[in-house]
Amino acid sequence: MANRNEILNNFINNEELYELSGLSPESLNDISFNPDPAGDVLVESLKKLIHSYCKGEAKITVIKNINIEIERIYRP
Amino acid sequence: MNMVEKKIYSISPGYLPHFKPMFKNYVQFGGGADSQRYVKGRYFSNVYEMYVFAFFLGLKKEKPFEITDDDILVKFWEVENWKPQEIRDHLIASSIARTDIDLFSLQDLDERELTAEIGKLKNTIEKYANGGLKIIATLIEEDPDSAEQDVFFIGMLS
Amino acid sequence: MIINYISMQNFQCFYGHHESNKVAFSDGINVIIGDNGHGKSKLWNAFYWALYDQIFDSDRERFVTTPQSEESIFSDRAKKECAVEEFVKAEIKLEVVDSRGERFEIYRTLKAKKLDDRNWEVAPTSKLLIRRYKVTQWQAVNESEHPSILERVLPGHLKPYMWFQGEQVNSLMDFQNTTSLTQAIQLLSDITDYDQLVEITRDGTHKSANALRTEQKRLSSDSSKSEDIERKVIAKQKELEDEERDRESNTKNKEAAEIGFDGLLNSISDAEKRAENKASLDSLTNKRDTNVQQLDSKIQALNKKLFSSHWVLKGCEPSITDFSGKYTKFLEYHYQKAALDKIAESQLPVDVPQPIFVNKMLADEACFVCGHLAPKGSDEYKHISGLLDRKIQSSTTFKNDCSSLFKKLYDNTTEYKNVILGIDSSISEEFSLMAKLRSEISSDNKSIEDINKSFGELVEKDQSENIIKEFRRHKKSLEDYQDAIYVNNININQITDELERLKQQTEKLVVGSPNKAVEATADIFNKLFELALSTRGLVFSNLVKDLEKSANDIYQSMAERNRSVIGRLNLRIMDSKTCFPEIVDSDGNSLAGSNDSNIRLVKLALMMAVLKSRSTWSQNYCLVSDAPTSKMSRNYSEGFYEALGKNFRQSIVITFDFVTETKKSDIKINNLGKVYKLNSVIPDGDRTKRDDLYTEIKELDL
Repeated sequence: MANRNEILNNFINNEELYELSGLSPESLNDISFNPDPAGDVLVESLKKLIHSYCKGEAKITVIKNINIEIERIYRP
Repeated sequence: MNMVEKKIYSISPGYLPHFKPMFKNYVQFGGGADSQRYVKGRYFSNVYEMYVFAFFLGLKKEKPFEITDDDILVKFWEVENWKPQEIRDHLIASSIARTDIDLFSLQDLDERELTAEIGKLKNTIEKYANGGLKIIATLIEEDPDSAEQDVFFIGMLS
Repeated sequence: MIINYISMQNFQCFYGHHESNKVAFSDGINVIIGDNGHGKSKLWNAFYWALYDQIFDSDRERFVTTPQSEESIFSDRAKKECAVEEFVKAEIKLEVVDSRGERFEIYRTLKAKKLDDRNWEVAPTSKLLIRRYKVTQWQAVNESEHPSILERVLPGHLKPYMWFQGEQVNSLMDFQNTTSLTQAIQLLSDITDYDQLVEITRDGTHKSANALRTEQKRLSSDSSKSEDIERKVIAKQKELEDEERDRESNTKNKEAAEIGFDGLLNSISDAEKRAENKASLDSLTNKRDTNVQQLDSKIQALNKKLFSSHWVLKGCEPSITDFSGKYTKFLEYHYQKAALDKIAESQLPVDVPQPIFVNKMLADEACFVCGHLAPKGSDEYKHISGLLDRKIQSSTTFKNDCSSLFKKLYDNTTEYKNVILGIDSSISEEFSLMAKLRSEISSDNKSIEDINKSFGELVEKDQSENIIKEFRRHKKSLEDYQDAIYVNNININQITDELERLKQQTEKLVVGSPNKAVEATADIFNKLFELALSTRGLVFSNLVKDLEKSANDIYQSMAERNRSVIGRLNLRIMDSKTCFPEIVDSDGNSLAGSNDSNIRLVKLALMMAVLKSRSTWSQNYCLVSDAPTSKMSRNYSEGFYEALGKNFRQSIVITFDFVTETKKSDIKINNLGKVYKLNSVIPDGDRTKRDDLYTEIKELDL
């Protein structure tokens, strides 16, 4: 089973995440899989993607989970 | 902004309808990347760019094309939207220079009188621009092959 | 799993019971030595048959299943000794232990009934029995668990790389094939996880984009126009997919042509001349390509310079000068009027001094302010008298003060005076630069052509007609595919821009506010897709870099006993998904003429590096190899064993090496496990009669 922490780390170490999220490198270092209600929407969606995929869920379910996460952020 | 300024920037000049195909050929409507514009032979990003080019061409060659009240022109964006600002300023300044207009008395005219004076300015812009468009059209007609060249418009600067 | 022992009963050349055909293993390198024809490959078959129900048929030169192997599974001697109507049984027993210390026994059995001296009725399938050691005894494992236990002995995706015969190494790591190493990396690493994430986010992007378009259509002020745009979007997306597929195919073909081309270049024997040409070719090609890109950009942006470099203002100086004149005149009148206003502003207020005092001053014929006399009729008297006639002077204002507007126009046009004067030289400079680029490109193209011609001549001097034809074919293919990819890229850019334009058109038709969550979802999935793609690329290139280092470390240690030039392994990343192994010298030039020994060693080093990339593999599974060092010199073989011992907890090597050694201590390998010698024995010495053959398995002691 895929190692979700390793996968998340590899995404965090990708500079493009800073550019796309607008967050600072320092704040990106604090990211974990714990849900963050006030977190950046891109980062929370990324966490949901990795978490859901590593649980072995079907592709369509992973997409659905990300959709729900985004909706939660936009319609609290 | 006072009324004079407002009226100058609201000028929405036009071109004669028979120049429409030329705009279609050379203007990339809706923007786009350089490469996209280039491979289709579209050398201008908007109508006003080509219009401004035509204005300065007509001005330089001193070949205005008289526009009368009977002419129905195709209008496009107001002058205030034209960019870059420094080229727009040069166009306005040049038009003022070539219009029979008393700058000082402009300041005391009422609205009706102001509209008439600014109308003269608009007419100047239109006659030089359409004059320039006529020059371009003639060149295309005389030598259609050269009209396909990258340097077709730049060549007109000399 | 780690292998404790294997034992055979009447299996091929291993006649007799398990007790006389048992080979136990320890950690380290376990070596089974045998001369050719003395049972080495049959021992390999024993392992294979136990786990996979197949053996290697040397006549047919491929693996065959049990039913296909018929009675060749059984020992000839056992078959000879079996009475008619009786049964002979062949059996393999394998004891293994997993990473948690759990032990399993795997039995595979096959029976056959003797019909007469020549004919046998062989059971249609073999039987498998697995037992697990629990607490103090062995217990049979349910048949439903068999597949998963067998898989755990050696996972299927590791099998080609951990259980292999020497002659398979070439095809496992085929240096002519970009997919060979890439497949190994993909099978043995987590890169597939990133591929999956890319697919999921790509799918998410499409779905969320569709949802957004549906939302926009709902809010559209012109639904038929929206429908029309939607149809165009779908058509363009299909076009884009086709174009991207085409580009991928062209890229793969171009890579194959490149590899073929390089391979043939490397066959040129004048290495010095070849290296010199290659270096010049690379440098010229890079320079030419950079210049082509620059020239393309300049051409595409040329007309933009009309505005960005103000070329369009050329020749407008006379009208600007006239404007300056008009403005100067305007200023004159403007200031005059302003001055009048100022004068009016500087007069005394009407009631200062008050009329009562003015009348008093007139009566006394003197000014009370300065103290001077003001006799009647004098100028001073008239001035004081005038103070009584003052009216309120109103200051003059403009309805529309244009001074700042005209000042701005004047300042801005003055600022650009020098720029306008310099336009001619700016234009001519740009055209000179472009001409210079064109000339350099043309000259570089000529030089590249000359070098290629010279390569062609070197190939022709060396090689046969066929090779020359191949060389030309690859060169032409390379050029054709490069052109095709260039066109693909232009088309893809155009279609992408068109899609963007259609998207903007859709947005313009929207009245009201689209659902924020729908908009955000489309945006987020786009970003996730971009991120997934680039992270995959990063992970892949890090994987390849680590692999290259690890393989080179192993390769260097394997080859250190050999003083001839060995080069190093270079893993060339072709795109974000494939990489290609080659042996290069210290300057990065491909090392042609590497001998078979060298190449085999590099491939083994690469395989070991791939397997080492997950430490659990090299610690939890046994590497079993039949004749890995065939075609290798002694020095290289020693290097191979050294690396094997260092990098794998347990390995079993079946080999012809060390055949002359009589004691374990004669074999100079570190981390040596158990060592056995196989010897096939025919009691009456007639080697043409194999009916009485049995194999002696002798453990070598110190």
